[in-house]
Amino acid sequence: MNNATTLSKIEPASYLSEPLPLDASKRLEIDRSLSVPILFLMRSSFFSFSLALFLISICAVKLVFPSFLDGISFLTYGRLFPVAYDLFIYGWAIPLGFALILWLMARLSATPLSHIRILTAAAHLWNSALFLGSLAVLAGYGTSVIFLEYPNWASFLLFVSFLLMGLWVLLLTQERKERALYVSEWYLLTALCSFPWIYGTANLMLTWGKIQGSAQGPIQCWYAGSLMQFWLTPIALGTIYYLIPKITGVKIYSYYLALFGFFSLLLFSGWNGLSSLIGGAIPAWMMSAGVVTNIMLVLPMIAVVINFYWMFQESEKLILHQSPALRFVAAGIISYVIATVLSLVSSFPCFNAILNFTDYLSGTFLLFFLGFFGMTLFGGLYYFIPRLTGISWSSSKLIQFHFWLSVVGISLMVSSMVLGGMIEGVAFNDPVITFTNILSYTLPWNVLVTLSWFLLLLGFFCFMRLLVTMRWEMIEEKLPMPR
Amino acid sequence: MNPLNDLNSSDALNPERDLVEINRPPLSVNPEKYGGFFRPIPLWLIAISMVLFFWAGLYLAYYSGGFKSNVYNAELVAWSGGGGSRAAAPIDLRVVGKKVFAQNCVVCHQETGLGIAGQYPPLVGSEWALSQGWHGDNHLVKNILYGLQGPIIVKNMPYNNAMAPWNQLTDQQIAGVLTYVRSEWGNNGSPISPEFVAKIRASTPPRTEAWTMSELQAIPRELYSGAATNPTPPAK
Repeated sequence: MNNATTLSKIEPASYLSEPLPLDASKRLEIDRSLSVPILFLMRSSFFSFSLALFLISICAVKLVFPSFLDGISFLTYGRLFPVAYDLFIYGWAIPLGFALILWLMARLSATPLSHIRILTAAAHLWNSALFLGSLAVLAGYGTSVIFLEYPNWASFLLFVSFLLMGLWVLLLTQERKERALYVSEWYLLTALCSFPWIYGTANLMLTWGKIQGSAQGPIQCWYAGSLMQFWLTPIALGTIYYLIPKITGVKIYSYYLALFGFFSLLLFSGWNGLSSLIGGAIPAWMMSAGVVTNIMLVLPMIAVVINFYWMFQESEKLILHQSPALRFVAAGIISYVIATVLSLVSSFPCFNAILNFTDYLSGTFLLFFLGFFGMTLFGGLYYFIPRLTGISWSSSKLIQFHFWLSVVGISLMVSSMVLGGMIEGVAFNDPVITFTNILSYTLPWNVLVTLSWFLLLLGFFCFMRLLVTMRWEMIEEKLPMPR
Repeated sequence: MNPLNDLNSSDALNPERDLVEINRPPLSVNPEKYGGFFRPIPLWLIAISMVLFFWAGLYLAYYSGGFKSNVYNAELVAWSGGGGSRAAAPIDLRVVGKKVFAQNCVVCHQETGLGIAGQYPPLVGSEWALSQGWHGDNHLVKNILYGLQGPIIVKNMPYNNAMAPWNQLTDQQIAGVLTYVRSEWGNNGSPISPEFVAKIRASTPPRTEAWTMSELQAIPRELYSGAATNPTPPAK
C-alpha cells in the first residue's frame, strides 16, 4: 500500500508457508481444496471465450463482406453465429460463473470442498458435451432454437453434468461451518438452483420433446430472459457484493436495501423475456406481463446500485484507484445501469414497434452480457486468481490495456448497435424503403461492430498474456501445479 | 505488497476479519454497534416502487385481454370482456400504392411522377391518369393490366415507348397504386376500389399483346364512381 507503483512480486513461498493466523491457514486449506476444479473450469472457459470471440469476429466480417469464406458449409453465418453464442454462454458464462460460485460458497461458508474428483469429472463431461455439441451444430445438426442450438443428446449431457457439479456445492452449503448466509450467497444459490430448472424446462419442451408450435416462441423467450436474470445477473451481483466489502473493508451500506434488491429481482425475473414477443401471435397477457416486468426490473437495479454507490463513497479513494478488480467492477455496474435502461425503453410497446428485430436488442443483450457480467467477472478473476495460484499479476500495463480495450470495444459496439438499430427500425417501418436499402444503411454500423470485436479480442489477448506469464512463474518456482 | 492483487486490502491486513463476520446480521446484538448497517430503504425508492406497482397494476388490467388464452390483441377486446367494438383499421390504399409505386413504377415515371421528357410520359396532371377527355377509369385499369405500346399523346406531347403489363399484381395493389397516383403530386382524381379493378379484370379477355392507343380509344369510356364528374386538373 505504501508503494503503489512498484510491481514487486509477493514471494510465493512465503505467502504460502508463513505461520499464518488460524483463520488464514483455514482459508488456505479451502483454497487448496478448490484450486484443481476451479482452475480447470477457468482454463476451459478462457479457451471457449477466445474461440467464441474468434468465431464471432468472423461472423462480423461476413456481415460486412458477405463473400468472405463463402461456400464452406460449416463456416456459413447460420452455423458459426449460433456456435459462437453457445460458446459464449455454455463455454464461458456458465463454467466461469460456476467456478465463482464454487469459490465464493466455500470461502463464505468456511468449509473446504470435498468430492473434488466427481466434480472435476463432471466438468470434463461438460466440456466434452460442449465440444461434441458445437461440432454437431457446425455440421448442420443444430436445433435452430436460439441459445438452445445443441442437439438433444448434447444438451442432455450438459444438463446431467451441471447437476453433478452443482450437487457438491449444495452439499457444501448444507455442511457449512459458518451458518450465517451472506448476501452474495443468496444470489449465488439462486443462480445455482435456477439453471437446472430453466435449462431443463426449456430443453424438455423444445429439444428433448417438442411442445406444440404456438407455445415454442414464448418458451424460448422465457428461457433467454431467465438466463439473463437468473444466471448472469445473480452471479455478477453476488461477486460485486463480495468484492467491494472485501477489498475496501466497508460494510454493506444497508441490509434492508440488499434484501429489497434481492427479492424484487426474484419477483420480476423470468417474465421479462416475453416482452420480445410484443405484437406476436401469443396471448395478450404474456406481452403485458413482459412489458410490466421489464420496466419493474429497474427497482432491483436501483436498490443494488445505491448500495454499491454508498459503499464506494465510504471507502478510501486510494484503494479505488489502485485496485484493478474494483475498476472492472465499476465498469460492470455502469453497464448494468445502462443496459437496464435500454431494455426498459425497448419494452414500451410504442418503441418496441420500431426497435424489435433490430440490432438495438442485440446491443442491449451484449452490453448486459459482456459489459455487466463479463467486466464484473473479469474483476473477480483479477482478485481470485492470485489467491488460487499464489502468484501475483506480472504487469499493471497489461491489466490497463485489457481494461481500456474492453471498455472502448464494448462501448463502441453497443453504441453503434443501438444507433444503427434505431435507424434500421425507423427504415423498417417506412413502406417506401426497400429491404436492400435498409441493409445498406446498417453497413457502416456493422463495420464499427466488427472493429470493436477485434478490440475485445485484443483486450482478451492481454489477459491471456498475463496468465501465460503466471504459468511460467509457476513452473519456475516449482509450485504444486494445479491439474 | 502488490497493489495489483488487492493484497493491500482488508483481506491481507486483517486476515482474521471475514466478510460474514463484518456483515453478520446483528440478530441478538445491540443494533447500535452496527451503525448504518440497518439503514432503512430510502423513502424516494419506496415512493418510486409504489408508483411503479400502481402503474403495473393498471397496465396489466387494461392490456391483458382479461387474461384469456385466446385474446391476442388486447386493444380489440375491452378488458371487461364485453367489448370487441373496435374493428381492425381498414387498409389505406394510398400506403399500399406508395409501396407498389416505389417498387415498380419509379424507374420510368420517376419519384416525382414527372417521367422523363421525350421518353416516359408524366403522371402529374396527365389526362390518362385523371381519366379526362376520352379516357376512362376502365382504360386506366386495362393499361396497368396488359401494358401499353406504340405512339401515344400525353398532355399534347408525343411519346413512343412500351409499358410492361402488371397483371401479376393483386386487385388491391392495382387499386392502391392508381389511387396513389391520382392523389399524389397535386393530382386530385377520385380513388379506385379493388372491386372495380376486379370487375375490369374479369370483363377483359386475357391478351398477350400490349394495348395501343387506338385500341383503347375504341373502347367506350367508363368511370368507377358512376357519376361522370370530370376531375379538375391540378392548379399548377
